[in-house]
Amino acid sequence: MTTDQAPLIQTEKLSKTFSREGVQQHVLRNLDLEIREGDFTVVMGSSGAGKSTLLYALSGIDTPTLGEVRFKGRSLVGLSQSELARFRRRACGFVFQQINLLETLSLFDNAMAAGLLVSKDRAAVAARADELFERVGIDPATRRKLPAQTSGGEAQRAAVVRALVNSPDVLFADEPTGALDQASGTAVLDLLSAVRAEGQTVVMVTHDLKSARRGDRVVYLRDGQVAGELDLRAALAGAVPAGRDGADAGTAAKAEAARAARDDALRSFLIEMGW
Amino acid sequence: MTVRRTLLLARAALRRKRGQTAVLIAFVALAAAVATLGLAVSLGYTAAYDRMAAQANVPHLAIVESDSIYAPAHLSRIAERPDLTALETEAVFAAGAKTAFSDGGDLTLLAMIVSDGQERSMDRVETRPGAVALRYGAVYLPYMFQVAGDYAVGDQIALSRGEDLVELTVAGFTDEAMFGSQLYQLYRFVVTADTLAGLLERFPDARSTLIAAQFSDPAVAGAVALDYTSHVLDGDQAAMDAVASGGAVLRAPDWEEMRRGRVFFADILAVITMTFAGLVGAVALIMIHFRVRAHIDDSMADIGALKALGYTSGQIAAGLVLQVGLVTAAGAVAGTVAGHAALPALADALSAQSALTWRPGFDWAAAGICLGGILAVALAVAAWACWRLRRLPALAALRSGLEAHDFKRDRLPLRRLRVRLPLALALKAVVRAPAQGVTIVVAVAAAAFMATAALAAYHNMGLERENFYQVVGGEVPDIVVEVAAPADAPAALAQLEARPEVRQAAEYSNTFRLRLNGELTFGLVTGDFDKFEGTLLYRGRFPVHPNEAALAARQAELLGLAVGDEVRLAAGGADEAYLVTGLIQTMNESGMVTALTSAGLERIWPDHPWTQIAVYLEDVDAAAAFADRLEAGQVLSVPLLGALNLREQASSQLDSYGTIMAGVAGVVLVVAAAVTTLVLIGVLGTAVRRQRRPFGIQRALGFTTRQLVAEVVATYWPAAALGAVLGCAVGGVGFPPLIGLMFRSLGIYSVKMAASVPETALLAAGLAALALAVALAAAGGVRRATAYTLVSD
Repeated sequence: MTTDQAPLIQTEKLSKTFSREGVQQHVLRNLDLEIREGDFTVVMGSSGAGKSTLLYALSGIDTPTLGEVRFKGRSLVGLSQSELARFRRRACGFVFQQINLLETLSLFDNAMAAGLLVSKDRAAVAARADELFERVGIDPATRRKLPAQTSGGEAQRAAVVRALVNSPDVLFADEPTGALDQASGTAVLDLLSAVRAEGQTVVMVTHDLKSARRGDRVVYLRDGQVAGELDLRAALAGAVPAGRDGADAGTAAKAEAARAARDDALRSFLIEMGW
Repeated sequence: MTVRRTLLLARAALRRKRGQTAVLIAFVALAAAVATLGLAVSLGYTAAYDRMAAQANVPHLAIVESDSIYAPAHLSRIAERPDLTALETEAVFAAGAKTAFSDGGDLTLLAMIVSDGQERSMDRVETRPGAVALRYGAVYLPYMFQVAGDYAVGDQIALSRGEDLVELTVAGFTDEAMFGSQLYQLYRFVVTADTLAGLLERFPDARSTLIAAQFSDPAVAGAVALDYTSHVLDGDQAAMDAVASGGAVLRAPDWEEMRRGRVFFADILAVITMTFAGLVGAVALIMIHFRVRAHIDDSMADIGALKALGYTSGQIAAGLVLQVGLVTAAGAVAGTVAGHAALPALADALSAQSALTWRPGFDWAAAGICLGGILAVALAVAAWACWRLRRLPALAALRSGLEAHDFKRDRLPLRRLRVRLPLALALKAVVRAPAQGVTIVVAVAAAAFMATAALAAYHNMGLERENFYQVVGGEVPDIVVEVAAPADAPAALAQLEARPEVRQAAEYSNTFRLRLNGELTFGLVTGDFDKFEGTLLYRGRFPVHPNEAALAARQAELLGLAVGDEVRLAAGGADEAYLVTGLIQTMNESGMVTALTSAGLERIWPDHPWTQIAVYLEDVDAAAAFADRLEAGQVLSVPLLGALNLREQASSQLDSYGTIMAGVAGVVLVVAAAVTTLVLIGVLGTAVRRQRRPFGIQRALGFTTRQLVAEVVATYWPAAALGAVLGCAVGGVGFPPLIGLMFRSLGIYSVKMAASVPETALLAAGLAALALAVALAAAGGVRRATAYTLVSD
């Protein structure tokens, strides 16, 4: 992926203001941001910085007060609710912190419902859903259960399936591990990393360092604006250690070194941002 | 502390769900309002009649007898009774006559004209406001003539007797407890003594005696009346013939019979109203049950938390039951007040129909029964709906009602449902929670049932009135022609049958007296019963041979007779045996009617003067014009005494029932629409509110507004449409037996009144369309919310 490519999503002076009991709350202020295709962008910031608001604005769930949001060059501002809905079903996949599966549908039907919004080919949608459920490690019996009958990890993995069933342009994840235990959270993050490796564009909101490590790029928000960005891939350049005899070190060592370099870069960046 | 806590919980819940509370209050108020009307009519109307009768000191028995047949010895049958407590006689004018009545129609009646100067302790003359002093040539008319006959003070009223005319000026109207009902055609007119003297001098054949009597037990009056009319003329064949031919009057109405006739329609109305109130109340109870269950489902986690903290099921339920109690009390009070506000209008309508003044005040008894009854039942239903709290462990409640290891089946998986997505989701919702659908079906079906019954009643009493005329009037030919000379009857019959306007004609005679096994009966005779077109025959067949007869079913019941029995009929001195071939049904003559052929009558009364011919026209709308031409001598070559337009008479007498039924049907239709609307708003409103979050999730996934609205409508509207169709179908099928039950008490055992299929279908379609409109409107809650609002809610 090169920087010459047009951004997948672009905002220009994006602003969002909420009014509560006569008091104006400016959550996003003149925010300019680009999301490139194939990137795993992590959005971080302190509580109330506008992370989730930014996510909803980028995906058309919420409409900006001022400014522009362009998706593949097409402005989302001014679209009707139905037009935004039709846009979301094809272009966006969502993974929420509260999971937000439809409680009255089985895990499988949650994915089917999303798939049937785009395709009338039931068999094809079912096959795609089966493939994804296999991939996330949910067996057929569990797929037939209602969300309340499953664990949080299983439900969130089902939410990932639902988000991917239509092969969206962008996968949006709003604190996807926030309600999960560590093991389940790791499993979900591994999933996101895996789909990223296949070329899926991911935008994830998190306040967690371990989650942030997964990204290619970290955008830090403060007071509704982009306070800083870190390109983690660039941070890795030159970070591969040389062996004692001058040859390259082993794969494990390389990976460990890469991880350490990412962590260092990320930590430094976040400290600099005041996290 | 616990009570206060309970109150606070209830109040908070009510505030949170204002919309749902308002819907429930509306339901309860509607039921209470209708129940108040029904109870007030049931408890108050007859009481008002009884008060009027008591004020006038109405006699238990009144006998009107022409002086041409009256003998002082007749009085002794009454006077020598040991249970007699009061007895009065007075000279009156009594004769059959005809007069104009309401918009150019004619009324045939027995006019009893009395003097205002007569001292009488029983049945005192009670004039209504607006009456002026009587003078010579003026008359007080029964109130019925004002409300149904359109007469006013100052108008001229003309009573015609053949070629003779009596014209009087209306000076006012009287409240008549005994002699003022359209059902019995016996009216009391009050004139000055000199006016009466003048009339009696001019019409000596109308000289009559009025006997008024009271007994220690009013219930004996009916039997005394029957005994009098059956036996007072024993041995006096000439007198019996005179009465039979209409040349003399002998009528003996008892108060109980008159009372029944005056209040029966109000009783029917009370039954209809209370039944309707019961149905609306049942719907309200269904909604209460639904709401309590929905509240428990919505608040499951809160209930689990309360239980975990140590609250008992009883304490939690008390809050819910108290909620229901507060809502029901508010609705019941509002409805009771509204019902009382509407009562004067209903009273006016009933008064117009029966000429009985009823001015209901606040009926505390009705209000108390209404409030207490509704509250008690509502609280019981709420308590029953809370019963599941007892079986709900805290942990299960915290897990939103799902027990651990609850393996609910995934019914109707989407991969197999080959319908569009919104419809598929709707089907899954219906299968998953059938209780909501059942609630809607039952509630809408109940409303549709009542609306169908009311519409059918209006159709049969207000629009297509033929069956109603037949039920109330017995056989109703279009015109009854009366020839001047019996010898002309065959020629008149032949000429009428040859007329192109006439479909069929038959010799005809009714209301003359016979004896059936020694008991009084009234004869109904024709040459050929096949020409009868009404609903008279109830069981078996009409008589065909001279030795056959059909009895009124009520009469047969009283005398212990059945089809196949042999009876003896007598007229004058002749007495013959007849085989009972059938049972007929009629309200006439208190159900004491015997039908036989002309040849059958000739066996016991060879010299019976045939003067009447029943005429059935090709075009019933031309009856008035044809009757006029007959009376003008333009149709037959034989002289006529008259041509009575029976259809017009029936219309003028019975149209008031149609008017009231139109009003009742209109109100019921509006209420049925309101019930359908409120049920859907209640259920859909709850559903949309409860699914606000799932709808938000669906929005976020990419469902459009149209898809979400379609999903909501597809989930609930089919149940409403099914309820409308079912209710209308059951109402249509159930209407005949229902109306049959009502008329059975009046001697009508088989009523051929059916619901109109096109009207019923239109009603079902209308209710279904209304339900669709309401569902679309209720789904508007989805339309207004954005995905972000719902997701973050």
